[in-house]
Amino acid sequence: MSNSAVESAAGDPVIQLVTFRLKDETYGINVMQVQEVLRVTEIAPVPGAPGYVLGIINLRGNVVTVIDTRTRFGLPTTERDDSSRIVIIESEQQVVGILVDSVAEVVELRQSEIDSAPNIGNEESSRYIQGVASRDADLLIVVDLNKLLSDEEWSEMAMF
Amino acid sequence: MDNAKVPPTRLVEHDGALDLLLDDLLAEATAPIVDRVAETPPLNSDVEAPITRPAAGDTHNDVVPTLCPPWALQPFRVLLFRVGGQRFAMPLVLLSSVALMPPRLHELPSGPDWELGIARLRDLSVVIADLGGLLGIATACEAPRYLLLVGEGRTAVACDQFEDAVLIETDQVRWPRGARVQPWLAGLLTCQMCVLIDPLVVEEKIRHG
Repeated sequence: MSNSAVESAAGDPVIQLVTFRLKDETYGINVMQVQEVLRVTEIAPVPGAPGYVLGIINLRGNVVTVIDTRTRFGLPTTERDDSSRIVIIESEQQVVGILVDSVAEVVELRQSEIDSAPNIGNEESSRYIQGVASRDADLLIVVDLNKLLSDEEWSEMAMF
Repeated sequence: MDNAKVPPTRLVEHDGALDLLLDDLLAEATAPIVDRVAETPPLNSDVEAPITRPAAGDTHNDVVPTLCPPWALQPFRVLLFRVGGQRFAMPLVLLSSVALMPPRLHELPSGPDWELGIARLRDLSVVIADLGGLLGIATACEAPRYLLLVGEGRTAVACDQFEDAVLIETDQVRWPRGARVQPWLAGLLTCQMCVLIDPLVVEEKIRHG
């Protein structure tokens, strides 16, 4: 049994999510897919890359592509600041970095607490939204990182 | 001058205005006409029932079958509401509930243009739509204050204000003849001069675009 999915007595797995902020919303991604969180360093642009690719960074000798998550999510871009972070994640496809406004905390949720709203994930462009969950007075948007990009886009990313 | 041959001017203008509006909204001419009265379907049926009663506001005497949804075969209450200064109606029987607009809506990424956001209401995640954007009509809320929840209460449209809830007789609605050109357009309330929106179609559009 993994650390991130602890079976409860009722068979309702508890998952751990790393939460981050983008614009005014809080998002959660499976902690098991997070390798590390970095302060923003120099990102080298890659000419000809898709619009959601910010560029590449050198992570201890490995080249990692960084995705502009705001652009990918259709949100307005903003200046990076001291709170900005690059979250290094490992999807089923490859290791990439995602630029976020800030990283908040690790939370635990029961699987049953993730609610799939009526039209969530219908749009091709938003199929990476797994669902939403209530956290205190806030709403947590749970992201399926494996669906952050389409298969074709993941293949495209592998070329950088 | 023989006054008996001159139709009342006000009524002619009223009928003319109504017909112009209906031409825009119902676009009924090209659709096939049902030529007999079908058996009355059960109220929970999704199938629309052809009826032969002339709709109020008809300017001619021909009895033409029109399509009336099963929930309107008996007198039914509608909720009148306003969006962007324009009046609309929805049958109360198909509304889940109404609610105040939450102080904050959450924005899901890459959502459709008509999606105002998502909110938690009564422990449910509710997708809230802008009616004009959803239906593709040129109207938008000026100061959305209320929600009309449709279906199972997980989809809603915003409105500026509620006006009234009134009882409507079947023949107080101009029903489309033949298939609906706009699926959401159930008919036209002739007394209130506003469109009657089918909440089932609204819910379907929110769920599946």
